[in-house]
Amino acid sequence: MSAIFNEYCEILTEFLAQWGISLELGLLIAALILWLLLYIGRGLAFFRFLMRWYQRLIILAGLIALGFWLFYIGREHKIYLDNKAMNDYKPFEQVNVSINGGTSAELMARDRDLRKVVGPEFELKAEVLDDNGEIVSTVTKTINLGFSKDIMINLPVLVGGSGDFIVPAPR
Amino acid sequence: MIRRLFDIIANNAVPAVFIIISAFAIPLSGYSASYLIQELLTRIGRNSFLILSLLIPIMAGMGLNFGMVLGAMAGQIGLLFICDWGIVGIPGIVLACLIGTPIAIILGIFCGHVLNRAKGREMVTSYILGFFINGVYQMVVLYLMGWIIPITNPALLLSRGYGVRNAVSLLGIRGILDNLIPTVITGTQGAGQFFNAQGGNPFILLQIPLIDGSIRIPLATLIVIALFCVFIIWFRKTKLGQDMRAIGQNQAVSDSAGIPVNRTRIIAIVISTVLACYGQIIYLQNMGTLNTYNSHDQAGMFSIAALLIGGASVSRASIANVFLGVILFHLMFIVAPVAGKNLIGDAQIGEYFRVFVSYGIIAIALVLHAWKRNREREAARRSLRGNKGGE
Repeated sequence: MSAIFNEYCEILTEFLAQWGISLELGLLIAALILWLLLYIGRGLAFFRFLMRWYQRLIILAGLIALGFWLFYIGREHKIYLDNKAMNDYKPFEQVNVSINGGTSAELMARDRDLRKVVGPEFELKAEVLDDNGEIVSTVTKTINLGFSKDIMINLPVLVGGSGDFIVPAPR
Repeated sequence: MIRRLFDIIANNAVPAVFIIISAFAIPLSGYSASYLIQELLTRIGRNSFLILSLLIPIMAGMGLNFGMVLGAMAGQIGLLFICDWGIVGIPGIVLACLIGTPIAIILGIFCGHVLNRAKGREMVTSYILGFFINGVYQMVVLYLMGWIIPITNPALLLSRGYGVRNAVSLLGIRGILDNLIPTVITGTQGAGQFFNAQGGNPFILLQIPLIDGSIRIPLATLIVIALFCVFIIWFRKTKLGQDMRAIGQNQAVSDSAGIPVNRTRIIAIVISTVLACYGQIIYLQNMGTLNTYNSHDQAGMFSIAALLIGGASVSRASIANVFLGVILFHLMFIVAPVAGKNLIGDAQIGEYFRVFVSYGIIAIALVLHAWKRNREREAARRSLRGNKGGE
């Protein structure tokens, strides 16, 4: 879903770029044209019937947009936290992970835990501990899930600095 | 004078009977006042919206809308989708309403057209229509969901791969509206215990020394219900509301006056169905569990029973009837089994008694309505003859 939306936005951006118009400006111009059509339609008896349909279409479009927005902000995501080896990154002895400042999950080597977040964006804080329980390094990352549902985060890859730390969630 | 007294008793017989029964049953149950108030507040929040949705068709002279189960089904479909997509909290409830609304509108239009072909027999027609649409709903939910309609959450689907399970957990939206503005009333002694148990402070805390323990108030739900009451009061004063009242008085005269009778009746049913859809969503967010194939079944019967117990009739209902009805009906729900157990030693006897009285009351209310209507017709006939004695 997210990929389709992003792709659609990219296509639209490319299309508008031919005339040197940004996506935001394009949407603004579209809204202005629509308003102008409505304004002209109001004055002419011929457009009255059409006007009602415009209004209904705008309300319908608004409701659909509201639905998408609610879907976007209200979705609960399962976040699997994975402390396992991946792509030459070795698991940590212990790593404490907290999401959005909540209670932290203590993951030993080869552990996996589950947390749930609501909304498209969350802040993840990973603290890597050594054998004495001292914090060696701390990584804070803001992750945007967009329209995707569940993900798995490989912690060794995340702390290692590689960008491929998000892997598909297990079924 | 005697005739007037007889009229007052006849008009308020049903609530009076329930108040008398409750007055006997409450002391027998042994429940504390704070427990009863807590239970009643929860049930007022849970059920009032559904019952209020019945008022508009009564105003339009269409009787008690047994077809409100159609709206309840639409609400449940909305809830099934948000459960599948994993939408939680207030956005989940609003999205369920948004999904349920077009389904409720379509079902309401269909119901309105059918009822326009069965004028004078709306209640029995809408009751049977509820059964018919229930069949369609079961086909959609049991066979099409997961097969044609995409449902991906394995927790929702039956093990065969299509069809929705009988019980669906609504944990993501459970009590969300009720606890949106956490409000608690405590006695001075109960406050400390409440804070220890909760581990946090509620948004609003009132302390009333007379109360033993603490009472949680579903404030946000009550605000929504209050807004709905304001909407009904405002709606009665609008052109459409006046048209509906005129149609409720006399369809032939309204038609002669240029009011589009059929169209107005359809609008009344559509509004009622959409509001029943929202009412069912509010009801289920309070319950926290969706019984996929049965939750909607009793929605109509319970709401109509409560409204009639509140003193409403087939042709006349007010907001006061709704609240009196929901209090008396649910008071019986709470106290009858325990009162029966304490009186006879068997809770089931109390429950049987409650079922017998509660649903018998629907029959009594309908008989009383028919009897009263016949009496009024007879009185009108006598006055036309100009003969008061009826000789």
